[in-house]
Amino acid sequence: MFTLCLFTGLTSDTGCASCAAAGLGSSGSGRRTRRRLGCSCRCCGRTQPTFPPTAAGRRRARPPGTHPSAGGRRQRPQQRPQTRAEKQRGKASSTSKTADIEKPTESFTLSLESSDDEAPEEVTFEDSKAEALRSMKQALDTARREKELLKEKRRKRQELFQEQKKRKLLSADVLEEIDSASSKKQKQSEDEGEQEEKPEKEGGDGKKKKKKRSGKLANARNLKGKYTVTTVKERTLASFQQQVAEEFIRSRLYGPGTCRTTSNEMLSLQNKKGWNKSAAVQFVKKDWASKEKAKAEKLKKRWLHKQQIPSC
Amino acid sequence: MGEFKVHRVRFFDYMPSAIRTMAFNSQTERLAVARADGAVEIFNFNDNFFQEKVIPGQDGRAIEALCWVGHRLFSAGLNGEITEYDLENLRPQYTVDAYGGPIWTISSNSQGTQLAVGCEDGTVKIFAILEERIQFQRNLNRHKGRIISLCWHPSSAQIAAGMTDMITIYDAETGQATRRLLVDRAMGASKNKEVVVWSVGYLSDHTIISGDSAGKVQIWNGLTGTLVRTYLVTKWDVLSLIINASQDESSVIAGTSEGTVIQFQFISSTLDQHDKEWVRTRTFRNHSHDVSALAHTDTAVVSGGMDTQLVVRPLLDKVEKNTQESALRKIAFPHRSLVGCAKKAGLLLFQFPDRLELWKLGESEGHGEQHTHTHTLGEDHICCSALSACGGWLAYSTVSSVRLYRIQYNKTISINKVPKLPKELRSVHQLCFSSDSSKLFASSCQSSVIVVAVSQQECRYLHTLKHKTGEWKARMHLLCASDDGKWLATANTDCEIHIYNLHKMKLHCMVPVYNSCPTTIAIHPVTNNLISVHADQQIFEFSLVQKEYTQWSRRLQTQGLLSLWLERDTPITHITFNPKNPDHIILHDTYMFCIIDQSLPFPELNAVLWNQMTLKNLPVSQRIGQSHAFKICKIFQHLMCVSLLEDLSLVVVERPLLDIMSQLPAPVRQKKFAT
Repeated sequence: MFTLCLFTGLTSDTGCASCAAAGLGSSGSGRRTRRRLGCSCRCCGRTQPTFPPTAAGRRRARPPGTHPSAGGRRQRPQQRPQTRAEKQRGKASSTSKTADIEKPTESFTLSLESSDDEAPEEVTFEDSKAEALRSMKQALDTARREKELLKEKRRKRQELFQEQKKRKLLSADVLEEIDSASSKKQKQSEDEGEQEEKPEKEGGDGKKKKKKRSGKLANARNLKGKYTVTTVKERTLASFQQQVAEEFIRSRLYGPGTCRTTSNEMLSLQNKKGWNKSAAVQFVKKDWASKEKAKAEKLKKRWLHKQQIPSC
Repeated sequence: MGEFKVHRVRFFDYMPSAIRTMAFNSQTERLAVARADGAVEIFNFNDNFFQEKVIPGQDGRAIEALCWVGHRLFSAGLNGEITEYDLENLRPQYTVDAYGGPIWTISSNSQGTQLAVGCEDGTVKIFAILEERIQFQRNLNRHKGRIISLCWHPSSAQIAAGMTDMITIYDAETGQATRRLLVDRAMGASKNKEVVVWSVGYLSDHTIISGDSAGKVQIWNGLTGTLVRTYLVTKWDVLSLIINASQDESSVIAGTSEGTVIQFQFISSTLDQHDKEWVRTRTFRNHSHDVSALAHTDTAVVSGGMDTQLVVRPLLDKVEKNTQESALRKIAFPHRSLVGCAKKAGLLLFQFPDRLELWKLGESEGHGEQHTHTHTLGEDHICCSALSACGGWLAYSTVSSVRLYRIQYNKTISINKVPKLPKELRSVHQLCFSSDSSKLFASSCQSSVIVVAVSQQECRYLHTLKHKTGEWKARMHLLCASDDGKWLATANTDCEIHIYNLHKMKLHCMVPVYNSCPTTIAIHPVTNNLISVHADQQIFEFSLVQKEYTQWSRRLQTQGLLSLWLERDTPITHITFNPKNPDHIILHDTYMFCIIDQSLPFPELNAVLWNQMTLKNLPVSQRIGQSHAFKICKIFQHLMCVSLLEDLSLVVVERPLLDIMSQLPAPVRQKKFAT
């Protein structure tokens, strides 16, 4: 923690000696020294967030002449003596070339800065940008950390489940036994056929479920004789694929988005446009659209009934 | 002529199944058509488009593609299997599982040595075609996404495969995908919907033509992989595409979901031969539903789809206009009889692919009662069925087995299966009961007829009727027994008719071969003459006793049949006789039934064939002068069967086309002006 004297640029612990000598005082009455946690920019005197004097910090230090505003605006180029941090970083003391031009304004800006007005501290664009970047970076960091934490938790939970599952399943020997029994072809009685139906229905789920079921069955020793475990026939997988393919064709030709109409409409239109124009097919043929006709009849009766009630 | 009491039967709910795919064999002029229920039909284009052979379908055999290799027929379906068919015995010869999931397409190279199939898992598998089988050779590189369509380059060096959103060109030697052609999606709202390339064609100049689900037909340069031309032909899908590869590859036909068939031709806009390009020429609107199958013959375009009708449209630049050749042909009904009639008992048997229905005709004006017998024998569909004349026996066969049932009625009809059948009755193609219902005749493999005695107790094998030794002939598709039980007539698809003497149990004679296939045969009960009608609508009468054509038949041939009769486009599927009048022959096809009176003269060449209405209006004395032998009635349509019962009442089984059309799947909604 050091105090930077803005006039001299000297850093000191207790206060700037030269300023004190000059009667300007250090921190305290009448004057606000800019005590910021940060190091100042050599060329413009703006302080930047402190970077620990690590290698990374040193790396982040800007090489001479690369100040963002160096090429553009002439803001506050100041020829400033190096701060301690800068000295630590071992930078050359040469500053931007604009320093010569801007020298006449130096004193003006200095005085501005040193003035003790109540105006709020001007946060420069670079500062605020830096702040924003910093906060974003922090947010990202925290998010990443949280994600990692979650991952860890999930991994641990998964491992726990695996262990539990292993404990629940039978030992490998028993499973082998069951597998060898199932690979033999057997004549099935009706009971066995019923039992087979269930695995067949769920055949799409794969063998995991079968293992569980066989596990449960084998555990119930008294039922062992009545049940047999056989592999699901290949045909169900093939027919499942066939169904998927048929679904594909059906959805491409008749699915949503294809403008399809009914045979009734098509034939009715043919009736309308034909040489001998006639009514729509549901009126021409007696046995078509019987439900609609029944509904229409009911509606007619109801309406007539309604008409009669007010009259009588 | 006579008045008949008519039983007008409309409760036969015959529903043909949709045409999924077809393939034309230009060497043998046969068209193979695969339907949605797995049945494969072979049409002979040389013989008036007669439906020669029908291989019954099977549940679960959903055929997606057919392919001819020489004389062999292969099919591939969504059950993942490639099937080769035995066209002599009319059954699948063997199936090979491709292990790639459902197969969407199959195609053979031009040399006929390799077969490529496109599978659901994204691989193109190459099979080598060997003598009696096919063998898996290798896979081409796998792609993500199913392979919907395939086409070989005529040089067999490249394969173009259509998938979702793209077409890939593979090198057939190395299996690498050399080019990828990206197909644009549809404009507008369906930009998110993937475009499926339903069909693809590869020409010898490396032009690729594709039809996709966005309704576009696109022409690509296969060497550079660039799009040459796009035609937006429909708002719906372009489901099928065919190139006339056997000719000069100058015509491409595309079939759409709207039911239109569009032709593109490679012609030049100016008179000289240079700067030819693909131009859209003709549009045919012969279908009401999706056109999913196409074939291109030398002179015609054949299309079929969801409306179950096969349409043959001759191209007028290849045939002469206004002739029989240039007429549009629509084949909607099968070319064989699906209805069996028990004349003495008044029973009707309706044959469906997966079941049989037995109906009793009602006495009064009312309806018939039904006793449905439903069969679910595994998955095979019914090949043929027969009902005995007395109504006591019922038999049917599939590709694998034959079943015989005994029918009894006390107050209700009961049907009991006869358990043990002789083992010779295995794969049977046609069944026929003798007129006294004591014997069952079955045509089996090696062109022989098995005679089996049926009785109350058992069913006993009697005899096998064969041709001359060792000679192998085609399978018989027609069987007919005479009323007195002495003769049996059989006809096969090689246009041969054989007569067997049942008392001696041997071959009696063979009718001289006519070059058209017989569509129906019958033996007259009184005169024992064989009447045969052929696919080109010719009628012959052959005397069995004298082993020669009768005088009447010779006179008819000399006179010639009227052109209106010969130009009918549906074959005669059933002949029956009038017990009261032996001169009458009753025939029917889909649109008319006709009573031929053998005692009346034949019509002159310039006479009117359908003169029943005019005769009705004439006074009786003048009628005799005008009437001729052919009495045609067109009141009932569309006829599935016309039969005469013993009590002289006519049974007419109709299936109006409108009823079939009303049960078809949904067509596309077309917005027409003023509707």
